Amino acid sequence: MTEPQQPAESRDAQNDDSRSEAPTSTAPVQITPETDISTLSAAQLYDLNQEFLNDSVPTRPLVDTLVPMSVLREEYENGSGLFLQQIDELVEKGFKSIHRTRGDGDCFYRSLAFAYVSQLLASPDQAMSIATSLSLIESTSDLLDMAGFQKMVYEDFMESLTDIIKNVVGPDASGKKLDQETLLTKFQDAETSNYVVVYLRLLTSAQIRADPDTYSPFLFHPEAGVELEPREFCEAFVEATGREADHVQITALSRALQTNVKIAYLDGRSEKAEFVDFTNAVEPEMAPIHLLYRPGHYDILVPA
Amino acid sequence: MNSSRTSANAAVRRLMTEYKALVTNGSPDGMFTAGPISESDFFTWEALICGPKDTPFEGGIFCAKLTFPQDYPLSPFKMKFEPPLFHPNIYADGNVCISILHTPGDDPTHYEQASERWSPVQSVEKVILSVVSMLAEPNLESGANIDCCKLYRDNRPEYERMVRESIKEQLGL
Repeated sequence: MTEPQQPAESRDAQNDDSRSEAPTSTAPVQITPETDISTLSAAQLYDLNQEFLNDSVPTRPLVDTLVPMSVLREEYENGSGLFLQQIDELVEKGFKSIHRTRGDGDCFYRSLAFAYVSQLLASPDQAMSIATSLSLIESTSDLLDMAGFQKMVYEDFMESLTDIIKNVVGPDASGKKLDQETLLTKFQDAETSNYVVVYLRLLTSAQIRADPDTYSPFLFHPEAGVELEPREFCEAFVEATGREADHVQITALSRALQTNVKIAYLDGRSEKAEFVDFTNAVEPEMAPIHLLYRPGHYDILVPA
Repeated sequence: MNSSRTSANAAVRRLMTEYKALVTNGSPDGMFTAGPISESDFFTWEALICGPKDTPFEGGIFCAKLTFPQDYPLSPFKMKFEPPLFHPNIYADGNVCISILHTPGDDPTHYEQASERWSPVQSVEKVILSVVSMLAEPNLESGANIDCCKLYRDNRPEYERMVRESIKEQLGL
């Protein structure tokens, strides 16, 4: 079981809020091409990276079509060699393709949901996997109730995910069963996609609120570093759309969904892309969901 | 049910659920009523709010217009008192300035970190209840009507007198 780590080292992952125009207490430092990168704070590097991600593809679909890793590699060809080595290493390990997602701060939740349903689609025993998954999701009502969310408030969001999962084995209103292509279409539809994201956010929040003893030691304001009450933390950094997920949120959600998640860190800091494991499935050897993390952003890694 | 449903449909569904719950259960202590102004437009509501007891607003009934975005409840609605109320957290045009109607990234008046923000778990009921507490206890940290803030801080009796006057005026007394 992976304990949530102190957010300090990945603090930059949480400040994903492109709409944040609020004046902050620190005066902005002008960054020019002459600026020495090593003088920048994690938050500034994060912002630069986010700007780059946003500028490079302004209208990326919420979840983009599957592309070979070479597409990602091309973007780093003029940059640090370590990034290329890490990408090559991932390809060698069998991660040959990637679904990229829009850098809107919801990318972790969206990526996880997409990969979660993809896994159900690929399951050798679909009927069994779907039944297990649906019963798990339906049982989260108790957790959500316990956290103080009203049914009226969460049911539409929850249903957006259960509808998609039911569609794996049964036709939807258009008479078709789900396949990878229609799954992609659903996740590119803003409403469906964002509703699933909200459900996962509420579930993450409920998991943290229901178990304060476990999570309290890890609930910090990502910028100010001060301790926060579970309620404060969840309202500001979990339930609010556009707020990026960090270790605490990933741990909580992986536990709530009883799923294994492996996240490859593409950070250009070493020759290998290290994986961070969140092992929370009932069967520890259950195939994990693979995501790719670059500071401030998550994409979906696809084996083969 | 399917990917073809538009965002507005989901918003209407949620608004109808909230409306039904308000009609069925009423509001706590009957403090307010709220619902769509017309059946043809579920995105514009009117709320009637009773002035909270033991405040200068007691005895008044205040009318506010709620305007919902097409992607409600992902985004918050707007609330505007018509006619405007004289209150530190209400702009001169009647728009309400309260943290619960802003997402955490949207911080027009430096709300405190801990103040409650908009997220899809909020609802019309929760917001109106927050506005009722705001009527009773203005938040000078995030003032919207600066003159009113000053008066509230420096000359509370005069502030209370003006509020009472305006209520009498509204009631046509």
